[in-house]
Amino acid sequence: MISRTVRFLGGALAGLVLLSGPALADVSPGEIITKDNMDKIKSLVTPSIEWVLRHGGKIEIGEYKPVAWPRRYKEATEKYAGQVRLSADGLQLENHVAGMPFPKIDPNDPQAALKVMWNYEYRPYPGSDDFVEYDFPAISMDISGGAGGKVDRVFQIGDSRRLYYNGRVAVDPKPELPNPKGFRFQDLLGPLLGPYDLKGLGGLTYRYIDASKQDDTFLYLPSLRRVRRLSTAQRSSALFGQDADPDSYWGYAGHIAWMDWKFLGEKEMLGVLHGKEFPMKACPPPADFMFCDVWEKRQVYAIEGVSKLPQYAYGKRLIFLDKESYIVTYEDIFDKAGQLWKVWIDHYTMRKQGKPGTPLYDEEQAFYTGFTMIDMQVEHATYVPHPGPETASDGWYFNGGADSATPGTPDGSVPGAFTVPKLIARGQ
Amino acid sequence: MPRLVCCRVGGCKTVARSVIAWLALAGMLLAREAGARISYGPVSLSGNLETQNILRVPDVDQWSFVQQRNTFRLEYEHALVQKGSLLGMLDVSSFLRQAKLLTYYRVVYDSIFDLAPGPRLEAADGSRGGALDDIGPIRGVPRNERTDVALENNLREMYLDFDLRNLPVSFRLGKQQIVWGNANLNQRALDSVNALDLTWHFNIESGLLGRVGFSELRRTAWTAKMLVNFGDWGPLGNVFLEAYDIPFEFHPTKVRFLPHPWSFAGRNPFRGGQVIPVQGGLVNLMPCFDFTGNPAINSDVTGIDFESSLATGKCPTPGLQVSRAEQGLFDQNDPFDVNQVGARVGALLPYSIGLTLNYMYRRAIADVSGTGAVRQPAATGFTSAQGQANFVHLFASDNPLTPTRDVTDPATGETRTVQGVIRIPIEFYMPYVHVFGVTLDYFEEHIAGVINAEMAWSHNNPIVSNNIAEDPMAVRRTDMVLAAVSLDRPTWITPLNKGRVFDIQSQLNVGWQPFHDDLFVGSPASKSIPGQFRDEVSVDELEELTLLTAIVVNTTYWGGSVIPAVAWVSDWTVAPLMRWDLILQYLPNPWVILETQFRVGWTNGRTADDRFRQGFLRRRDELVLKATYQF
Repeated sequence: MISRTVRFLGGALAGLVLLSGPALADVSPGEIITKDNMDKIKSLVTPSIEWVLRHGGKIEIGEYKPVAWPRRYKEATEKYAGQVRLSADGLQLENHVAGMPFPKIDPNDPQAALKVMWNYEYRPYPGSDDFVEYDFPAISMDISGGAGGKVDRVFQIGDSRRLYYNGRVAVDPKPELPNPKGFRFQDLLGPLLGPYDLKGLGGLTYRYIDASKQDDTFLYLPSLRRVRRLSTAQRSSALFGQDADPDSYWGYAGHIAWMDWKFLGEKEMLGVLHGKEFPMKACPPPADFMFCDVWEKRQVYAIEGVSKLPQYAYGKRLIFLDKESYIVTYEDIFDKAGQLWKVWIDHYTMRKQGKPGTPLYDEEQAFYTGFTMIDMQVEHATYVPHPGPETASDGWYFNGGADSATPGTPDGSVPGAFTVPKLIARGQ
Repeated sequence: MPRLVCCRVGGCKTVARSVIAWLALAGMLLAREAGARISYGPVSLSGNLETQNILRVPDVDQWSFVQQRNTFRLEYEHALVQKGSLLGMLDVSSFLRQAKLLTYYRVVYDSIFDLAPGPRLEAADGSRGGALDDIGPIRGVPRNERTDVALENNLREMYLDFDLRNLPVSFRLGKQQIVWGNANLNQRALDSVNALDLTWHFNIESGLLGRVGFSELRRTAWTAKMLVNFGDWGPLGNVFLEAYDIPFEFHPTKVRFLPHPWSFAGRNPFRGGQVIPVQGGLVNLMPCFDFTGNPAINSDVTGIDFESSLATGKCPTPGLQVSRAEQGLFDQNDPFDVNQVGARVGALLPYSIGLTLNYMYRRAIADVSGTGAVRQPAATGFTSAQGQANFVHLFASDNPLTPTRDVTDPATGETRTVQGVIRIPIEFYMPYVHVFGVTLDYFEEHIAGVINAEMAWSHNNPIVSNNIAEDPMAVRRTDMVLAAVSLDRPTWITPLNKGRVFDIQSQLNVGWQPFHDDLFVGSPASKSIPGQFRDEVSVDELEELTLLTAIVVNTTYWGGSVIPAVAWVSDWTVAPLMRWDLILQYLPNPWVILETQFRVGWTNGRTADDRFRQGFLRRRDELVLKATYQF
């Protein structure tokens, strides 16, 4: 079912028109935006956010607050950025060691979009060396009918963990782990703690620096009790009973070289980088598929991505990247017909401590407190708070290395934890 | 198998307490928030409550209610060591990284034995067995006996996982299943460590997610398993060694016969009280195996209670083994008789090719194609009425009974005059075999699919032989190769589903009998079973080369809450047949899964009700309705 709203708001309004259009009104900190006064932020959001407001969402306008880089990341950028070059085809970095490759973006540079996206690849947050979000739910719900989400699946995820092999600034060995195979990173997802029919499921992905190498992905399937090699060709297909596809994680999770990128411009838009709520808090029904928190004006890069891969589900991605932090504030996704299809909206809070009683860091960390992905055409959403509301801890480790042990991965973020035998060993 | 606690044995209070406990559990589960886990510190509970109903529909105007199964599954997990502390009391961080206990308990009540549906149930030969139409295959069994088999109470798994702190080694000790190989679709070339319990629902019960398929069929065993994670070795990545030892038990394939209607749709060929034709007339089969292997008349076993056996259909005589179709000439728990071991090494080769090399030294099991056999310990010189040499050993001449006596077969209800009693001097022969195997997996970018391959070579495998001249024991030890190649390819079919791919799995299963002989016979639908097949010379011989293909396609709709799947399996050689499975799963909320399945089969050019379909599949077109509450 494709809602009339989506049809109406489809591709015509997306992208460039909004980005170049004049501001119709302005908002001030403390204002509450709902569907009744959403014209006030029309120049600060795209139709996807208007769709959310029209379905009961609420935005509180907050003060802009700057986001600083972690000290070691900043030092590495200052040290190495001058030597970094982008190859002529834009598919690989040359002489990059660590830190942000291209801290200064010239909007007139024909490679500006690629440089922004390579900066995104080597972004400072949530961890430049490794990170893990653990013990959190992914709540999948039907949001048609306008009476609130009707939950159909809840996936309780043990770990979502990443270990970067190069560009490391915090955990020894730096700047690169022993890396004869050329890994960019390794991802570990799972084990799923629930639901029971998927309990124990876990995945492992290897991403290579070389753009010509496809990912290697392995999945432990509890119904088969085996580790299976997965095809990584169809990364735009939503997995299991939820709306998010692997390429959409974090806003974009594919290889930078797998898309044609277009620089649409810079603009002031709204995003949640200093959320008040920890854990992320859902709006009351009927918008319980969305978080309610403080949005602030952010200067963003607008980047359009069109996949080079055959049989990609989406026509294009429209990514809004915060200029300071390279965090995706949100992302609009269009189908092949150019109609608005999905939106991925991120919720961050920058703080030294998640909540009382949890570790206190010496620098502010980007607690990626969650996201929601909404399929506006079938009116279905997946709402993912991390940590979950029931999690006692802050649900995160940043650059923790071996110290980031969790019940699902007691080794912490070390290479030995990201292996097929580990998937086998913990399979049940 | 424990008896059902019920009022019949004076347990009304027990039943009441059980009901209250179940209601309390149900209340606790229902009171949770959507998707919330049941956990108490290091302890977590999960499981499901499931009801499965199967209607067999061999023709459009026929149906039989063959299963009403109610299953409760409970998993208990206890994180014993967390952050180096054992139960929060003892610091073990110097040598243990983590330790966890998992138990999986399954209790099943088959209320079909209470419902005792009507007379539609049929044996695999297409007959309803004479008086079966009158008494019904289940109703004909005394109520107390039905009740005894209705309950299965099974601690399926119970193991301790632990990782060492300073070595890349982990262990799993306890009751578990070992699953090797990478062929998914019904080819158990290397997935043969644990035999199957085919009493669950033969081997054709499929499913999508959760506790389904072989995972629920494997006969778990107390096992020690070790896994060493070597990491990278030069160009090799993910190098590992996994080894197991099953020291104290061996469980061969378990089969049940009618009146377990969902299982093998045949009657126990060794059941007591049946009348079989032999040269010279009819005799009554005694349900005792001569596990001594002594072919001498009456053997040296004394105290055989023939009268009792004939009257009850049972075999109460001490010293003689009762037929359960699963015990051979070994002590089931003696490590000198049953210890089984295996090891495999695996690695990710250059070009991201996954490889494992496997070795197993185990006893033969019958559910892996062509393995396991019934052996005759010695020639008897006896020929049955159907002409099978050495088929049975006749004791009629020394029979203590008076010749000629009217006997009623308890299964068929047929009364016939017999001349004596026979006892079958056979053994279930499940010798040790060597199995060598290899698996490969590779993601091929150009076809955007994953290729999986698996091959197992079994050495000295027992095969049933009719070549009595060369194989007086009716068994040949020979080699066998089982292999499978599969392609998994997620594929967009956007007109049918815009948002999610169709996962398409296709597989070719190959069996190769290098020392083939026309006199070798397959199992279980062997041509040596009298009257089972019309064209006995061509059906179910053990072929030199057997081929089976399978394709499974599934996708998801509506945010993943609707999951359709279709499967097609075709056996091209042993008994030409084709089977389709249509599955539709609907998840209305986080707790409930509703599923319907329909499976239907055809033989080569024959209609669905042809009585000459392969033995275990014929007339097994079934409609499955399943509802699951999970927590």
